[in-house]
Amino acid sequence: MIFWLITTLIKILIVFGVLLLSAAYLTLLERKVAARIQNRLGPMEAGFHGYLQPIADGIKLFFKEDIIPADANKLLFILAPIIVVIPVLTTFAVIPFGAPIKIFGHIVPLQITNVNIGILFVLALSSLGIYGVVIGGWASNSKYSLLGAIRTAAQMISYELSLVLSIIGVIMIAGNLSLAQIVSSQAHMWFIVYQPIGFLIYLIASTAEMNRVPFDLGEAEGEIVAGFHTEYSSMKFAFYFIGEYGQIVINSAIITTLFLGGWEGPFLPSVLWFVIKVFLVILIYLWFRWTYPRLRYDELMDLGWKILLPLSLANIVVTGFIMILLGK
Amino acid sequence: MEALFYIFSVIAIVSALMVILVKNPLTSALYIILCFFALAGFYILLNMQFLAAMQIMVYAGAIAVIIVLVIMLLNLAKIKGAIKDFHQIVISIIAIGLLALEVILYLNAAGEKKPTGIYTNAVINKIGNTQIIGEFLFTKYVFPFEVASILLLVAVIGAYIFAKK
Amino acid sequence: MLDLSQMYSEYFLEKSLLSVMPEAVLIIFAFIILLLGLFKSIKNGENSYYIALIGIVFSFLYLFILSNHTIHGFYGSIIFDKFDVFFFTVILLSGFLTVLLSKNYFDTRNVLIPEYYSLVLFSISAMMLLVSSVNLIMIFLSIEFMSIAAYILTGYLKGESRSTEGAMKYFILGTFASAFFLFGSVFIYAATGHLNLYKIHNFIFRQSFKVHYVYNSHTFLAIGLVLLLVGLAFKMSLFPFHAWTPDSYDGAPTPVTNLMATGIKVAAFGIFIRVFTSIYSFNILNFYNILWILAVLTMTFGNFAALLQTDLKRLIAYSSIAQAGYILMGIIAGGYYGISGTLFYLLAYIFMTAGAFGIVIMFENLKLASVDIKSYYGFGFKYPLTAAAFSFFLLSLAGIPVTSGFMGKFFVFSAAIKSGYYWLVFIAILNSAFAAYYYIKIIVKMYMVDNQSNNNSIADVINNSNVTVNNGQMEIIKENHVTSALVIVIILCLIFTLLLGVFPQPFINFAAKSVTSLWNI
Repeated sequence: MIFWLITTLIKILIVFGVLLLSAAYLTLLERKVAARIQNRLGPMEAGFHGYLQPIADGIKLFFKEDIIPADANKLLFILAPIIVVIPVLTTFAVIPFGAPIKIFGHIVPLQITNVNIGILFVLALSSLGIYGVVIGGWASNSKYSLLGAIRTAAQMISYELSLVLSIIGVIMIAGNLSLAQIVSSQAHMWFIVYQPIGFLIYLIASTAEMNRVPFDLGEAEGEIVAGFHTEYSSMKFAFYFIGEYGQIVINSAIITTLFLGGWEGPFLPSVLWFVIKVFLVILIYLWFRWTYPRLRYDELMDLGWKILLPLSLANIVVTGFIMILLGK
Repeated sequence: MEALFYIFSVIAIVSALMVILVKNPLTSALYIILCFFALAGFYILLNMQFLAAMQIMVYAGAIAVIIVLVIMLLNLAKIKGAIKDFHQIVISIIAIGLLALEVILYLNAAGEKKPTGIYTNAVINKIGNTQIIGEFLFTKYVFPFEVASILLLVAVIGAYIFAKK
Repeated sequence: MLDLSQMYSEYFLEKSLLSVMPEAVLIIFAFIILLLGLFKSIKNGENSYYIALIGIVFSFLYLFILSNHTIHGFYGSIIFDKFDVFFFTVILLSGFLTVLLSKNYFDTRNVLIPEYYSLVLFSISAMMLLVSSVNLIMIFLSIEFMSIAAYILTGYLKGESRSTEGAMKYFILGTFASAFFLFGSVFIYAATGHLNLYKIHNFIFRQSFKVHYVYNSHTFLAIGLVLLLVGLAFKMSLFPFHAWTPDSYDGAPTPVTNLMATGIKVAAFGIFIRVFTSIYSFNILNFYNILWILAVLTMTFGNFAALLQTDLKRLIAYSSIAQAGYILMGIIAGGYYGISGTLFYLLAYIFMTAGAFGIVIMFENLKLASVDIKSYYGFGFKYPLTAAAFSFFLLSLAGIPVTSGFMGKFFVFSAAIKSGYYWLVFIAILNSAFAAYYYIKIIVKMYMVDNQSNNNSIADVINNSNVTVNNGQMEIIKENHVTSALVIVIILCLIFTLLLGVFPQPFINFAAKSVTSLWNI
């Protein structure tokens, strides 16, 4: 019992630290990738090739003046960034990031907790991220924030449907909701082979869910300043950033777990496989951002409701038919 | 477990009360979300993780979002001084009295109840409650399940009719 | 994985589907109407109207084919028996009359027609599902299904604030009632551990022999039954739960009012009879006394309130509350005789109500009069046939001999006397005498030439017609003329109202035969 408690605590601390650190360094990675795509060098001053840049940014944000607008709803204004971060940090609790290892004769699964409805837990938490945005936008009492919040909320509701439905195919094949089970059933073949459409839909829908560039209407800087976080400054602003980049890590980890075989892989240690796969998916997200122009609002809704939703429904039906035909 | 039950109960009741007591519509919408979370807690205590996840996904993650969105779109300000009516107060006192009586009767009558039927906790843990729910939905309760789907379709038609100009 | 094959036979779907065939046909036709919207060329009100009628006829056909069977479907969710056959007939008739009434009414109004007919079919099928449910979950779902369709239909005239107001009131109060029903079901489930009505019946029956357990389970059960009664009483619009009735009946489009006053009320009584006979008939609380009080309050209140109305639709709404009180008497009287009397009353009730509403629609559509009673002066001379038919329906609602209303009251009252409820019958007779006053008041107004107001109203009519003719809108008036469907409805209702009043025997036999299946548990 005590051993279990200690290992769990250590796992929580490691996951927490790595997640926050990677969220911070993703800002650097993003700037570097953007620079490469635009044929620049990116940040080079702070440390070797700018490797200390995130830390400098963090210190800067920490010491900035914390402004709460006079007409804002103070409680909700402070609550909103926290609501953004909490689901992101909690989601990682159910994601398995390595094969079980043996310490002092005990088998320790490299996963904070194996919930038997793991995938639903992830989806439930990801559906809550919207509140941080909506409440933040409303509590700021600024028209740009409110506009951004309403846009974001409408967008997230539209894309969440396809996001959830795209996963159903995976659940059908795996026959289980536990993420550890889903990973172990991909030992022979990754699910991306069986579910290419599901994978693509999840990739697109999750980009929209995170408000990243082709779908960043909620913070479209050319139109509504910075959308829902216009009024935020200092650490509260940093929280939104942590939430956003944390979400990229989480979504990459979910894609890895559901479609790319999780930590499964030959030769290398399982944790390393997991990290490599997550890193590659993150690169895809960054690549999206710096290649595609922003969609118009009606195009965004059309894509969500008229293309992705029917496609994900069709994906479920076809998957079911094929499973019956193959007698699985 | 018992302690958790009471904690969740207190959260559920207090947040439900706050929903109607708070003047700001958005705050009361947030309290309703808290109430949903407390209910999800009950489901977990009852070993119904699937229902708990669904509760959060569907109610907190979807329905309450729509409520919040509507409040924002309508830009509802604080409710200024609701009209208090003697008539209403009398009725509410009667209703509260009856409900209190009911609670007392309920607590008096409450005895130790063991779960009946073939699904004991051990069985549920072995099979997994998601599977049990799935099997029941598609065998014993398949008809209510289908009727519910048609009901929702009718509600969608209604929304379409009322939203259409 | 769990092996359910021992519990559930493999072909249960095939067997069970038969038990919901009449409802399924209606739902399929409702879908066909909706899908017609995909094809612009055939999407119009005319087609969907005929499809809805055909759907109801097909449903009748299936009902007829299956009428001799008793089928338990879907593992104790649904039962199809003789009792259902009677109620399905009544509900389908009510739906059929409603669809016939609708065409004339909606042709002149700018609303979405195909969706309207599909919603009517959906709500009819929901009523039928409600009557044939034997499981608390199914009952709740069907009530919700029926109510949601009804809320939408009530608010169907979007521009009109009264329609929206009626829908809103109906919706909010209906949601409360559903919550009561749900709470009741939870308590009953907690007390008995069953959701199936027959299993609950057996459980209570067995428990009533065990002394030591009684107190514990009785408290739960009593609370549950009371809450359940509240939920159902709302749908039957009994007295303290009637508040939505006048507003939503008044605001709704008149054909929808007809559907609510006949179909929904019949379905609510149907399920109430089923629930009452199976789980209320034990001596837990004295529910017969509670219903006694409810019946008296309902009929007295309904009649008094109806007396004060000047709006015809509101008057019929209040009178329908009063009628619910009479219908309830049959259930209180109970037994074979009482319930078959109730069934007969329901059958008679739909014809007289539909007929009355048909004439209201006729008046509304001719734009000759509003629903204000004062404007009916002198109608007896201007439209002798219509006025005669209307008088006949009103006399039937009042319960004057030779009409079906009289026979219905006769059966219900005599059943109550048989069961020894003398005071109840006394109050009911006083009430019907009282009610006859305001029904006959309308008839008198129609045949009375009040000089001053008559001149005014006739002058108004002439002026109006002159104006319309002058504006070259003669065509519109012609369009507004009564279609054959409306005439068919009125003639049909006349025939049946007369037939039920003169030769009640085949109908009461039909009702009696269907009641027997209630006790074949």
